[in-house]
Amino acid sequence: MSTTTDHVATVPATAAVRPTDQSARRRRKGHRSYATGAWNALALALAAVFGFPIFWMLITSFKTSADINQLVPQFWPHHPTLGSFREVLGDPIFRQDLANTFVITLVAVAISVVIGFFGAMAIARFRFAGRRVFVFAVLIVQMIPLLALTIPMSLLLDRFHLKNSLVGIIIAYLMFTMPYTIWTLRTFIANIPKELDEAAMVDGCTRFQTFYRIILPLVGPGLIATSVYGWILAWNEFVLANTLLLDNSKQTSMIYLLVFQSSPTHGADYGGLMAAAVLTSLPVVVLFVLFQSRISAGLTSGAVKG
Amino acid sequence: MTATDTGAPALGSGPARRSRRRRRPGRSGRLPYLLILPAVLVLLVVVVWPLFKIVQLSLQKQESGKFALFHSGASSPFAGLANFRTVLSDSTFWAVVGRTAAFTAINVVLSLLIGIGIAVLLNRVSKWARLTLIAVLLFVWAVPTTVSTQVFYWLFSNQLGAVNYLLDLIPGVHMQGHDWFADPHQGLAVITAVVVWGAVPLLAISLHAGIGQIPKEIIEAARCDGATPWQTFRQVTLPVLAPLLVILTTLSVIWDFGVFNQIWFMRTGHPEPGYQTVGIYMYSTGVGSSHYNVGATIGVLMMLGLVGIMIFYIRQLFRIGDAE
Repeated sequence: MSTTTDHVATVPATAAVRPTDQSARRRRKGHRSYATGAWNALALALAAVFGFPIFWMLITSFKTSADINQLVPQFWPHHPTLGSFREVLGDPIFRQDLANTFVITLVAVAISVVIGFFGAMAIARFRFAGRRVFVFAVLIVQMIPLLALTIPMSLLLDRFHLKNSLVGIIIAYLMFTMPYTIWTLRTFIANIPKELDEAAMVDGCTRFQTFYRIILPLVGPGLIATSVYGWILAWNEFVLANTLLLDNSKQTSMIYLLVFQSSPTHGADYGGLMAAAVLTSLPVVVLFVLFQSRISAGLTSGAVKG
Repeated sequence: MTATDTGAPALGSGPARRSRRRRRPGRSGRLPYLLILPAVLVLLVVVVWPLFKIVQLSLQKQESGKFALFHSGASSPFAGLANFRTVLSDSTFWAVVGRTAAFTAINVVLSLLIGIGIAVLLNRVSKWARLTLIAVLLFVWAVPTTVSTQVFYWLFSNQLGAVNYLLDLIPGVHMQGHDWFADPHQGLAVITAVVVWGAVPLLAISLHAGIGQIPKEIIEAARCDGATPWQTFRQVTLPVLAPLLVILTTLSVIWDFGVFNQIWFMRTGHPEPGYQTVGIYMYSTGVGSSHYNVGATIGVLMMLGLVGIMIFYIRQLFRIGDAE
């Protein structure tokens, strides 16, 4: 509302300026487009600098090893090949690790989203004794350095013989997926006007019908965004996996990357390393770029709103 | 509002809850508790229990051999604050703390400065340039830290790395065969490059969105009143962005303090002493060499160090009203 009045107020001012100050305006505009050109060039230079590592990863993965090992780096894959990808995909351990990552991520996210959704409903839609404590706890938990909890988590899982098992790592992953999910879904639910629920209930909907017919459809995009980002968090996790999973056959892709990099046989095989890196990051990069606007809406909505 | 609404919690007050007249949306007895129950149970198991356990471990004496500790954690002898005394009187620990503080500060300052710079730039440039830069930033944001570290590891490789080659092209600079990781300071500088590279997109894009929400009229008004671009930025843009900046700074401190993957992968799983920040030091001690009790002690100290900043962050969120 205030924006409209501001806008109206400025209109006469610009209208008054226009007839008298034509040439000065044009001169200023010319000067400005010059400046814009310079800023555009700077933006492109920054895009090149920031994009270069990704470009380098991609072209390395498509190069022949002869081209990679040239003393003068080749800035284009002159003999493009899928050899590195074939090498990595041909490794049964890589495929196994990718499958493990997939299962762990999927189950951890599914559990968090279902349970987290109920929790988020409670704190976004109800006032109850202990609500503030719960909100506070979720916030604190989100910021605890998980790294510190790897030691007790590893000992606890070991006591129940869940160390080095997919079930154990899924439980451990709930440490970070669960608080994140509750908090983000809360924001999405809180953004749905309460009046909608109330109207539905006045019209005779039961609480369950209100939930099913009003909230669920409206929060759908938020649920998808939250799941996607939870997926990315779990997919990229390294420390817990590195601590809890010991067998080759149970590792995740992130550990595969580290093992590949540090093994003497593969150490200098940058083509294979970059191909593995591309394949490992592809599922999260694609999802992230597709859903980014919604994800960052969830991440910073509160902050921007202020 | 009636007295019952603001009075004692509805839970357990049987007759009041059953009375239809008092059932309003937003206040309904047992339902919210049933809704949070599963989440509370999960958090108790995966967070509260480990938290209890890490404190307990930090107060116990290490048994010889890790298996003794593995299966009889509770019966380990109580050691009081002996572990804390050991850690806090160790000069290595303080060297690690100093390194972590410097590393965190440099990373936070660099990523915020570059992030703000890019955010302002994004509001100046033509649409196509803006879309290009944002698209690149999105891809950078999406790359996992483990992967980006490996790419930088390869870029900065001493034999065939592209960075040495490019720097060597500058007249007067001889970088051929230069080993960036022989000196931990240079190595940490490379790691800072990875961290900042990965942190800038989130900062730049959210600050760009924040600047976009400032009404054009205010900026115009400042310009009409004769403010220079710097004055406009300093007096108009920055104050409006302040709440967002506070949150982003706090989060950056928490994230950069906890940087792990970038250091671990850059040193292929074996960070030398000169590369150890608190997190790495804790992990190497507690998990790497199985000194669980000392590791847990460092972990407790690490969490205590973050408590201040966490409280600050949460108060900020409550002040903005996001947590209400």
